[in-house]
Amino acid sequence: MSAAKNASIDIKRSLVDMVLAGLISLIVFGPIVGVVLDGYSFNMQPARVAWLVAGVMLGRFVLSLFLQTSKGQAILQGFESSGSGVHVLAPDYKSRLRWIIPALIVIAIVFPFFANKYLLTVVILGLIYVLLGLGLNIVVGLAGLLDLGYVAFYAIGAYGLALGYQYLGLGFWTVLPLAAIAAALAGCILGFPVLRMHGDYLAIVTLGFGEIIRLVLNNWLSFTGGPNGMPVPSPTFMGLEFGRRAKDGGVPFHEFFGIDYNPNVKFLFIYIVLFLVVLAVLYIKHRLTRMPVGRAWEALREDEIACRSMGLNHVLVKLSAFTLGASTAGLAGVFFASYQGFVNPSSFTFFESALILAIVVLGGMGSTVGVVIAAFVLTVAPELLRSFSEYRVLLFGVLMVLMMIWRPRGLIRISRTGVVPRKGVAP
Amino acid sequence: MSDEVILSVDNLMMQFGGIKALSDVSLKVRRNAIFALIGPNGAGKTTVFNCLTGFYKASGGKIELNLRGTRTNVIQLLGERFQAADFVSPRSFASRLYYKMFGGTHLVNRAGLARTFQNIRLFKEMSVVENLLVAQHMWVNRNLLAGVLNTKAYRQAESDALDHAFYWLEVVDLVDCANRLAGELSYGQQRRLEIARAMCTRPQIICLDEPAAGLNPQETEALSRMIRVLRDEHDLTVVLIEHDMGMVMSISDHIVVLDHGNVIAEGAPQEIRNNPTVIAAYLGADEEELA
Amino acid sequence: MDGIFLQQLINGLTLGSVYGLIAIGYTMVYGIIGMINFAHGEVYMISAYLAAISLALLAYFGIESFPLLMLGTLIFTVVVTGVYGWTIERIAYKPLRNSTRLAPLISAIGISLILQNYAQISQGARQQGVPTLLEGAWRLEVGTGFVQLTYTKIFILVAAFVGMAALTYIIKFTKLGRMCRATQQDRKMASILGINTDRVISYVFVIGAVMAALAGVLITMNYGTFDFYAGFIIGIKAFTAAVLGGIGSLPGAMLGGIILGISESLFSGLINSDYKDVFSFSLLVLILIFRPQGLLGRPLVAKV
Repeated sequence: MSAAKNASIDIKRSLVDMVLAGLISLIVFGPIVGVVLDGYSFNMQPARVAWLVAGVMLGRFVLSLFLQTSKGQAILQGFESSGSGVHVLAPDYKSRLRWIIPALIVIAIVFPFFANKYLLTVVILGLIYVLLGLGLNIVVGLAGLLDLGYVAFYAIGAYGLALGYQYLGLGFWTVLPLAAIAAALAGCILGFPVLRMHGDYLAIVTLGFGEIIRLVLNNWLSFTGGPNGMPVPSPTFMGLEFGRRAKDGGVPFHEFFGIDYNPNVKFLFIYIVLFLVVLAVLYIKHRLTRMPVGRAWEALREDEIACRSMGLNHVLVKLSAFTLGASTAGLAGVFFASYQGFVNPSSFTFFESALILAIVVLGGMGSTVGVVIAAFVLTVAPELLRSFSEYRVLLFGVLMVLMMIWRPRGLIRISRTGVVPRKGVAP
Repeated sequence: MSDEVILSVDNLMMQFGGIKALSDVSLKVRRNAIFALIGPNGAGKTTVFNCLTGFYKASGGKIELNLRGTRTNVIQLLGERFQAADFVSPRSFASRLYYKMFGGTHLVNRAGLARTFQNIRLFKEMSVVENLLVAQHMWVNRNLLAGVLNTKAYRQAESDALDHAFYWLEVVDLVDCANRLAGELSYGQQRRLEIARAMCTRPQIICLDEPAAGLNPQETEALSRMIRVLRDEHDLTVVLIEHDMGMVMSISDHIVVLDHGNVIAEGAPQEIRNNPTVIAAYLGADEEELA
Repeated sequence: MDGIFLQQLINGLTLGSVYGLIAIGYTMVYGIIGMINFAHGEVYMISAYLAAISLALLAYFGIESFPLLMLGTLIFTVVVTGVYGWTIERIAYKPLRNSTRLAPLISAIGISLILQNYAQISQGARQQGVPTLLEGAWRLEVGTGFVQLTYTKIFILVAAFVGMAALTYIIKFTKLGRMCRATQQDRKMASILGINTDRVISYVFVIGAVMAALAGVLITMNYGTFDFYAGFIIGIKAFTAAVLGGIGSLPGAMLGGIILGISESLFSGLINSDYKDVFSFSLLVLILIFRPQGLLGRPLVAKV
């Protein structure tokens, strides 16, 4: 490449870019950031605008200069050629995960012995989002269906436990499978009519569905308790309760085993069950990507018309991804409800769907490892950076846009398994 | 319809909004033949193809496949509108409802008809072998439980599918590319892979949409040989649309010429070559001159 | 006829004409690049803030006559919102023109989150409001009750109608409109014929934003209050209107908006106002199932 010649940097152009960007940002930020409404009057905040505009101008100037260097040109060309970044592994490739996974399992087993309650709850929350991320990754990453109402299935799981306890007296263990089934069923009913249409409609229908569920939970006071939410029972271990005293004269867990009462045991129990469920889901997901169904999902994402010409019922294949994703969210909802001890509709807003989508986008479409890492980064990091919490949603938004422009497939490179060539056999 | 006829089209009509793409097309494809559909641009060849393969729902007429010992009405598979009579007869109502809910293009393929596309439609970000495995979706073990538990029967089915995939890779001479991404292959290789992929669905008819487009003369020659092999050794019927007249004339058993949505001539290559209507259609003579 | 019924009909008509204005943004963008611009509802929300800010500023400078206030607010809001539309397209969608199908959708969600949080951070989470600008109403005795037609509602209807008429004129009779239509029909061919399609797409985003700005001014006048979350619900409803009318069709968006507005008003007035949003979303799902091409749209034939 003759980059050396082209790389003569044109500062004047960068300056023009900078001034233009400054003007635009002044128009964009000026009124909204600079004039803060206060009743029917307002307060001027010119300093904030000045900082923002200066920041944008500086950023634009640096970007403009950088894109003129040979390195910047290379990056620019990288965008245009849209190299997918997918590659096929050699048939005898051995993944490093062979060592990492047992190591992680050991860490996960040792972890509770050192963790205090706070750390335990943070990790539980992280694992819940791993579950949600894995489920949504099947739908968005593998099958290429944008589900913006994913939180509705999560709510079905959580409220399933609360309502099941309130009205039917069901406990954690009964609801766990039932919630998965109920969420899958809801996904089926919603997905079947919508999935036969152009893909983008699914996004808006699921968005609407998520809102419907939240509005119903919020407005149906007599059944769901409305905005006040509902209590959720603690899980039990073989019928033993984790409280200091068991209800109805039963024996609580600590007395049965003759140990001292420890309020953390409930969370420890949730942690263990959740960890096992996450492991199971990880394994199932790992298998699914190598199974005919998983291949069909990815093929549908690549080219729906070609799939139909090969005898795949595109509606049912998509529906299987959609319902599997939904049932995972149902499971996660049950854990979330027992972890929190109560549920209310404000846990199931669109922001929650957006957070899960951000996990999938950051972790990489279809990548399991990436989603696990991203789930922890995006749920644990805000816990640590509480002072930035009001910028959290803004950061998610910026993250989504930047990732789509820079790395639409996520940070981790996607690889496909190779096969050893063999002698063909006629059918 | 005799057993010899594997695909018969009667009075096929297709309208898009107010535009009539096909007015009245009838044709019969005999078993084990190489059947070519030719005509000038815009004659409606691709529309006929899309109707046959179930991508368009014809506005009128009848398409019947006689494959794997059963007769299949293609238009019915795609899900028709309810008729007044359906509300009296629950059985026809149920069948129509079934096809409306679960019917579609995929059933045409399951009946035994496969196709390729004019603008190649491979799964570009999947490996070559995976492309062929997806095509065998209907023939492998799709039991979720068996797959998750990785049972013996499941592994056997997967292994058989791989055997089959490599068999077709050998036929189209792509074994060396088995572990490459489909999108990385050269144009000619992609065309061959698409044919192999269509064959992996184990069809009895294969419809090739301009298979020689963009190929050089040597590649076209190889393609012609391959099409003959498919017919002779794999007991296949081939329907193709092609613009390369040399190739069409050399391999076809029967040719149908379309123009403006009508069949204007049909017969053996020799008859078509000398047919004045066909020559006029291609050279753009006025209709008065013909008469 | 029942007074309540007629009253809800009028409320629905005003509400619907505003939905129609926002729906235009969805339908035009969808028509031209085949993408649902999820951030469009947020553009409307931003314009509501801009309208309130502009009213406050104008009042501060001592302008009190209604026509001047209205003119100033409209110009200010439309221009700034137009710049928003342009910037959003430039930053979040243009680089993704050749990307995967999901990329622009996810990017749009990102922009939508950014705008919501941006408004929340810079203006605070509380509800904002504007004073009533146009006092007074016509009262009509109808049977047993009466119907109240406020001047504000009349103004909204007239303004929405003028906005739609102007847009129809632009699309039908100007060079810009011709370029838009050509790009919508066949982007590649249009660019071969010398149309700068990237620029046309930018214009379409600006037009959509301008219509949303008009809607923002009008709704703010009618309801008086809004917050940073206002764009989300109205966005989905306007999209419902666009789908109802047939996505990609301009008259469809207007018709869909009016039908949705009226049916929603009737539902909330006569049946249950808690579930009016549920009603609209359910309507969206039902339309998509039974008539995905909408009322005025053409059935899509997949290109094979």
